[in-house]
Amino acid sequence: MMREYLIPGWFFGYDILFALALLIITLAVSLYSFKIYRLSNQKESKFFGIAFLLLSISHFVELIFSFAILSDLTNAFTVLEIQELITFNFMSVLIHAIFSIFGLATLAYMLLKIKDKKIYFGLLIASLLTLILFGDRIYLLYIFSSLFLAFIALYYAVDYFKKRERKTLFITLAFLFLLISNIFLIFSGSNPNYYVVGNSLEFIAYSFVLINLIKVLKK
Amino acid sequence: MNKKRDRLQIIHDILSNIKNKNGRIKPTHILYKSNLSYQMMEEYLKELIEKGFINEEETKTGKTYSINSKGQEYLEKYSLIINFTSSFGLN
Repeated sequence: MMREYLIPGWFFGYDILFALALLIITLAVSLYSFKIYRLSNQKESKFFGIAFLLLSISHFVELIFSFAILSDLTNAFTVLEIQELITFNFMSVLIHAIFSIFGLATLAYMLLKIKDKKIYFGLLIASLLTLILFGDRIYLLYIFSSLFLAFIALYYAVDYFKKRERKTLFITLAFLFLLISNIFLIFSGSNPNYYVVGNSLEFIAYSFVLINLIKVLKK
Repeated sequence: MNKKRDRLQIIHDILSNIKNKNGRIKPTHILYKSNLSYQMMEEYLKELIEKGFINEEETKTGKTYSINSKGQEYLEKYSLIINFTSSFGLN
């Protein structure tokens, strides 16, 4: 079954700005994580960097796609034929979904300290096959993302309340907001306003990540 | 009671001990100063050599360990490393 995802017309442009901001934030976190890995050889930092790099690539694809659609709507650039648009839409959504899910799966694998690599690769392959074979990729993306984010958010929340370390408050809030944003996005097929709410919450979530990074850099 | 040290802190302690001994130290001094079992110390030293933080040299009096530039950089940037890993829940 295919769902239609309606984006309110007034939101065009804002989603591009959000995607650009998310791209910059995730890329910054990724690069810094790799720097910490280079200094410390701590593998958690490496996986954190890989996860955020995958997420930044997914936001890059999202940005390109959103920009291409907006350009077509405003007729500012070349006009895409309907068939080209459908193909472009298919590829963009698939690539965006794959990188997004791989990023979250990598994060979950690292944080939950899953020792067996077969589980990790099994999750990736299962996600990939499901995305390729089934039609409603956006819906599947939000479902898979919510599942991974539930584990990640739970990990951070339990860790925060157990250790009471204020340092992890922002990252805990970030993943909780990301989880909630994805839940709204799951239902955005039935209500376009949920798409706006979901994207806005996602932006707030990554703002927490950015604040966390700035706090680290300031010290 | 002392809080249990994590890996990053143990590495910091070992490298600091080497640096404080004018950059060169014997294994027995590391064992004494770093508060590790012999087996743990051997594991950490092996890792530090493999990852390029320290060098191992054979002298007439036995093995010695010296810190190199990567190890120095680790000590200099230690607070940054700890801040990042603790803020993002990676420790």
